[in-house]
Amino acid sequence: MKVIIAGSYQTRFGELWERSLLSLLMEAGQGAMKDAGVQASEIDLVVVGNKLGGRISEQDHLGALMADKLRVKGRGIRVEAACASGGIAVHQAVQAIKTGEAETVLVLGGEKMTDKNNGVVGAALMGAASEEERRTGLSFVGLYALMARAYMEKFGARRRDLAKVAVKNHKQASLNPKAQFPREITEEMALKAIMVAEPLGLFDCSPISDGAAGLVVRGVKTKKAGKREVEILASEIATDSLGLNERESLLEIKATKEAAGRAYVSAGVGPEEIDIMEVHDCFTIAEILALEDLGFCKKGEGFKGIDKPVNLSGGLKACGHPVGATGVKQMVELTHHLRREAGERQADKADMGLAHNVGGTGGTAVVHILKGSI
Amino acid sequence: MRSPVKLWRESQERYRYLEEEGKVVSFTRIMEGVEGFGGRPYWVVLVELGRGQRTVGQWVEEKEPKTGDKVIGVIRRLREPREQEVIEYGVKWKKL
Repeated sequence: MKVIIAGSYQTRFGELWERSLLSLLMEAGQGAMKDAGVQASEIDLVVVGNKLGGRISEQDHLGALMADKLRVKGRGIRVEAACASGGIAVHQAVQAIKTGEAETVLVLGGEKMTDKNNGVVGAALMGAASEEERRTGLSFVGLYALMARAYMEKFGARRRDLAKVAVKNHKQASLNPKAQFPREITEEMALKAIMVAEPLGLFDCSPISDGAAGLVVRGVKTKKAGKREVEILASEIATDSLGLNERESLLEIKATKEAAGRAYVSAGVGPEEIDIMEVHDCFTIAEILALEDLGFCKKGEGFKGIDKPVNLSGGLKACGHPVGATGVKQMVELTHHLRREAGERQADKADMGLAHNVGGTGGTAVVHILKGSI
Repeated sequence: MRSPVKLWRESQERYRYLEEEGKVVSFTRIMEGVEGFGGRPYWVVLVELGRGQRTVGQWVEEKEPKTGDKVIGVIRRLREPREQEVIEYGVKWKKL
């Protein structure tokens, strides 16, 4: 049996004042089912990835809520793994299909973040960090800043190298109508912007966003592939210490290396066979580390970039980062490209795609490998 | 309000590295503080202790830290307490 993505949908990402968490998840769910051509009565299970529903929208019980509101036949659960909640939701759907618990699963990822001020959202996001880190007043920008400084001092990368990641992702977002910031920026703009946590400035950081994404994932027995079918070749997760200070190295995210290593083995492909990727660029330094830890270049060389398309959606940086939605949205984006439906931003070569979603500073990592059928 | 019981329970943990010596392996200046830590920018250092363990904490000096600086853990107030809240003390880092 193979596991396929039968339908996908992403809401617009941004500061969506008129939208609630529920309305975003509804749009994503209905959109994904419509794209797949399936009815709610065919859905065995809804898996919702969300991190901050309780803290920001005072709503925790999202599994039952979405199964009810979408009137699906089956049941619903919510999963949480910080900013990897979306990736974990897809992983749980794949597991449910493989174990025979479900045949057709609706995966939703969503987050409503703009209903509280930045200080409160920042403190809530720190729930993904360790107690020791929370006590210091570190923010997530601060944690990645600690990694960025260690990396820059070790490998000689400069702030301008980090800025190049933001410039590239903004340029790609300018072709994405669903992106929060569909606008280009220049290196000078990035370098002159205010500091958030030195050495990371405003344009090194992904924004606070509202948004949701959905996928219909199915188990199919036939070997024949439908034209719009995208197969999930691998779905792997790995976990590590929450605290950055408990890691062996500040220069890598070990969970990414582990999840990617297993994903390549289970898909039977290597990084050289991947055409496009959506990686977890919550901060510019995170994209650089991801390229190295996923095996696309050597350690210490990620800041020079690679010659494959990375984050054609605009990434977390410019498409936006509604935390629970991100891991699902990455796979929606890859699905568009693998089906040759990505419009203006369509990748020239897109047979195989990789999605990389991280929770915290690397406490959780999720890697999916997808294959198109065109 | 932060629970006094929770603060009492965690006190051993908060003073674990008091008067321990180490060196700065990375640092950052937080310009936009997290709720509960005041509005002013503050430095946070990642410190490697003698036994190879690492920890994180705020920097108490006026002058910015540098990688490799030798440091010692000192008692300071951690969060800004709200009205009627127990004051939370713990370890911050000072240049040796």
